[in-house]
Amino acid sequence: MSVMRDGPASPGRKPAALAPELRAMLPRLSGVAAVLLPEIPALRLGRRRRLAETLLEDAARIGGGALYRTGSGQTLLCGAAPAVAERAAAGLARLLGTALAATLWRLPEDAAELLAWAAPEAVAARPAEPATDWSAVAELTARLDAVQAERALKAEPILGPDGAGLGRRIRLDRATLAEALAPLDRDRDLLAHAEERLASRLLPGLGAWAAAGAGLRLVPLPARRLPPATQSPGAVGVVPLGLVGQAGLAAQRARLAGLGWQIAIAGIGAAALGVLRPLALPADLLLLRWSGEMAERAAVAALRAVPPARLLLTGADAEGRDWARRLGIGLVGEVAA
Amino acid sequence: MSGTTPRHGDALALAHLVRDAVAAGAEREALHLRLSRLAPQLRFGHHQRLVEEALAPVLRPARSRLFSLPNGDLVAVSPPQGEHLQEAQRVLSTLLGGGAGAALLALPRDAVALMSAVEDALGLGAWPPASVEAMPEGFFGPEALAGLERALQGASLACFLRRSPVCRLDPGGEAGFAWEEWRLAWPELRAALFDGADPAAAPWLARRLRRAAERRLLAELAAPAEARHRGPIGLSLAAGTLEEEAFLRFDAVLSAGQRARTVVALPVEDLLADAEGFGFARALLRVRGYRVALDLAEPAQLALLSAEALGEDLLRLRWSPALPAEAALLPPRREQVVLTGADRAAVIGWGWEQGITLFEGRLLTLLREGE
Repeated sequence: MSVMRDGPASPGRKPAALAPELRAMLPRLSGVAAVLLPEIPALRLGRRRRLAETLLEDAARIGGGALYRTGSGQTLLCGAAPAVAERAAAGLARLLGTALAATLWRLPEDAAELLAWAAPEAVAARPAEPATDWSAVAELTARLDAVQAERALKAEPILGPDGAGLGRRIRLDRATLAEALAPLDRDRDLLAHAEERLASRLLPGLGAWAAAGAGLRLVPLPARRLPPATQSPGAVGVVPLGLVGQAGLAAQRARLAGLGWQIAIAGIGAAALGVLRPLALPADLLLLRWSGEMAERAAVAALRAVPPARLLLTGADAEGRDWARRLGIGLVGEVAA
Repeated sequence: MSGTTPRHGDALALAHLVRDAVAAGAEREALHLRLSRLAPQLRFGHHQRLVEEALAPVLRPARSRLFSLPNGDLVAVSPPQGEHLQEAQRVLSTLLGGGAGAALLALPRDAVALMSAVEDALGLGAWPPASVEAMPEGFFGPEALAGLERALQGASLACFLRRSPVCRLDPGGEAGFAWEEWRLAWPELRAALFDGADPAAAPWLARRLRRAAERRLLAELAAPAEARHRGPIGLSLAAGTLEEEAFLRFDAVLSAGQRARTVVALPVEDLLADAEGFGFARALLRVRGYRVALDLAEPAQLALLSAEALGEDLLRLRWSPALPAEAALLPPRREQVVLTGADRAAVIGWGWEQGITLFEGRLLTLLREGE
């Protein structure tokens, strides 16, 4: 039996306000606790919130209490034994990182705080699981081939740490690909497949552009096809970090070197730097993906051994730009305000 | 005049032509009309017709071509043909005024100038695309994927499940059973379902297919009657599979004790493909009380992991002749290592030399069957 108090399943019915229900329940609650799992970006992907909720469901089974999911995307366990609630809150903190720890209220002591939080909340139904759209999967190739090259590509300047122009990167535009894949765009593997397919389709033109210019010229490169040879240094094929896990990247790098090309690995975020040795990646350039966590200890420590000239930062905001300047790292793309 | 409608594809086609001409040493003449410098009113109407007429003789030879760049510039390229191009240049310079500039260029000599014209035309905010070309995708594409996923929904994978014991072997000591590793026999599954299609031709689609198969496997393992009597097991699951509804159901039928006796191995390949998602899956397994293992596909992946990457988890490492060369990269606490593919006594001997005591392989299966 589910302990989740889902709201009305039919969209036509008015959602029930949470505060009156809690207020009615509170006089019966003594020596118990409530745990709130807030709405946070890390849980928006896929079923992550649903998975995190299993910790609260287990707590409710063991320590009692009722679960509520709110329309604003939060989950509340109310009325559980304090020790069980504490364990659930600690589990959520480990799952999500301590900075995003769940809120714990003791009842009746913290009832006012609980009610203040609940005032604007309404109980909501768990969103329905979308059924797999098989026809969309089957049509993938046709949908990808219909994407116009002009829309699929974005050009970005490459700047040195001193702000001097070093060249240009042409990359695939994720938003355009996601639009072409919808509703399958939440599947990262299909997105990666789409990038691979587009990079392969556009290789003749992009390869020619990168082979013939001057300065740094970064273009997306498919896993198994080769661009034209070049005598002009600065042609760089960009591949995703995920390709490192598939066989043959080191061999591809050697073949590219024979054609006058270098290789760059893109999409290296703080989470990857926490567990990888960047120097062991088979690439000439590493494209780091900016986020606030990049400035934290683990990521900076991982980068210490890498010559800054081999690094470029993508997606930087003003903070990212400062961080890059301090470390002597160049930037790709316009700097977001 | 359809030929002068700016087409982005032209810019890269021109870049392509320049490169080929340089590579082959083929002589070409080019006339670059910088129409982008003209006042907008001069780019249309009768001016366009004048340009068209002036260029007509230039474009008559078979291998002549007109390129419309994204910024409105035109580049006519043709084999060397004496006076025609110079004549056109003179006429157009007069008609359009000096500001427009009609530059006469020769390939391969002026390749750099022509390429920089292409670069200028593309500018930032304009996109150099390319010719549409069919990509060889082998026999395994999205259509095959959709069909297989649908087929897997109702298929029973029980006959494709392989079980092999993981044993603790101390030099000179008794062999102790640690857990039973359950995994899908992909070669057999492929032969039965794929009808010759090779998922390696599209690795990203193969990853999605793996999740579909694991979803089905977990659904079977979640049958309560089956789960109740299960001893300690090991499963290799894609990190993404843990976000499937099937994992939630599998997790729900296990007691806390059973979870603690279940080893879930996550492929390092997933860490590379989506480090954040991998981190979430791993944290989830730890919090739910499972034993976590990192599954390495090849010894070379050892070098990719930082010293902090393993934490308290296990490391599944497959024996290969390349492994001894990477021995220095083994985690310092060797009790965290499970050496798989231990099919010969020599492999176990090497493991012992390294301080490894957990093994999986044909030899252990035989040992266990003999008990």
